[in-house]
Amino acid sequence: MSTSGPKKWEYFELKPLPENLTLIVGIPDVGLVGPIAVTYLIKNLKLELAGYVDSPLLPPVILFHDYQLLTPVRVYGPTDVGEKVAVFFSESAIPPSGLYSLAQFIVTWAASKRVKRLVMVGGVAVPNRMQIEKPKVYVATALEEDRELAKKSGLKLLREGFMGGAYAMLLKECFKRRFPGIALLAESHLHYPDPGAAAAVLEALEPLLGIKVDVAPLLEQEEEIRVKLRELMKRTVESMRGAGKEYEYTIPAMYV
Amino acid sequence: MEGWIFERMRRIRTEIEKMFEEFEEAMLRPLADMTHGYLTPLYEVRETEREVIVYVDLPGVYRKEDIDVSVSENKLVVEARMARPVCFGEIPFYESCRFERYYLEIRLPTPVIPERASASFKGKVLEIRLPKRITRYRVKVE
Repeated sequence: MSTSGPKKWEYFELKPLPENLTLIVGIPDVGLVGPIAVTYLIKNLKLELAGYVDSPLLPPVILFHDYQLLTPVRVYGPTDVGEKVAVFFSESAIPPSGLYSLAQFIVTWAASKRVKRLVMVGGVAVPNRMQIEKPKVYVATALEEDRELAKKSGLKLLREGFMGGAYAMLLKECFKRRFPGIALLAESHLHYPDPGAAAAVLEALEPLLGIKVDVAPLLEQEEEIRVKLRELMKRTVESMRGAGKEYEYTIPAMYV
Repeated sequence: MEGWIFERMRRIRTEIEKMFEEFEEAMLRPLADMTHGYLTPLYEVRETEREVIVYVDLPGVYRKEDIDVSVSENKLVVEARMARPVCFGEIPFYESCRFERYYLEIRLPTPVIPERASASFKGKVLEIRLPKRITRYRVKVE
């Protein structure tokens, strides 16, 4: 399946996904919070590879895991019919020129698969992250119904300010198409992989969606993750230039 | 007169080309040195009016005694020893390599006063504060 217009993004199905799933999205951004959180979730919920996404806008790379060829952007689905979660995951940084069309593609594709809601997991960079023991999680939503859901869960809603990058594009697309979408953004390091922030967004899944994730093993692996994801972090920081992230420190004129 | 301008433009162009080369080289260079067996840590440089502040991410380093920081007016060098060696599995580039230390050498954006530098280590992030060497002149507003 592809979006209308030029085939910028295409989905290749390996296994059909059940309907009415919550699609958790993890795309490299500040602190690599999304990829760290969703890879942990894939292992924790024992999700299976369901398909992959390709585009000429992606870096020309593939990867191998346990001898198996993998493409960097993949979808994982439930093994158990009772499970209601799937994951959309990118293992490579998305160039800024691809963010808009990727967001359009994800929402179109999710609607065609009758996904119930998108939940994006990521970070919001804070300069004093070193002093923060337990990162706060902010919720940004596209629709009123999602705001209500977030309010009931007791999570802190993002009230004001610019948002940039992949999740900003996704929320905008959700807003335009009236598609349910929620971004969970934990206070995070900007330049360093941040498993602590990833644990915080995973913990926020419980009050929001009733998905309980034991994050203790993730926190035990924190230092190893920080050492091993340095290269991906470097590529991601580079790709964040021009992705609108710098706007997040800007005060909107309307609120002055 | 014209020769002087062209010479200046040539120097500026050479400087810009050098900066681009350094940037491209840094992007392509891996964050590890196989020959000497060290990892390059991620770092960030911030500037205030009076200080250059460098943050260096040092996961795997447990004690501040395992960190060496040396500063000159224009250069910062950080060396640190990890508590346990790190291996990157069967990835061909890293295979058979064990890393036990970090090494970072950076050129500072502005001259600093090395003898007044200070450092602290929290949450596996090393913070180095370097006071800028500032020469100020009061300018009379006409």
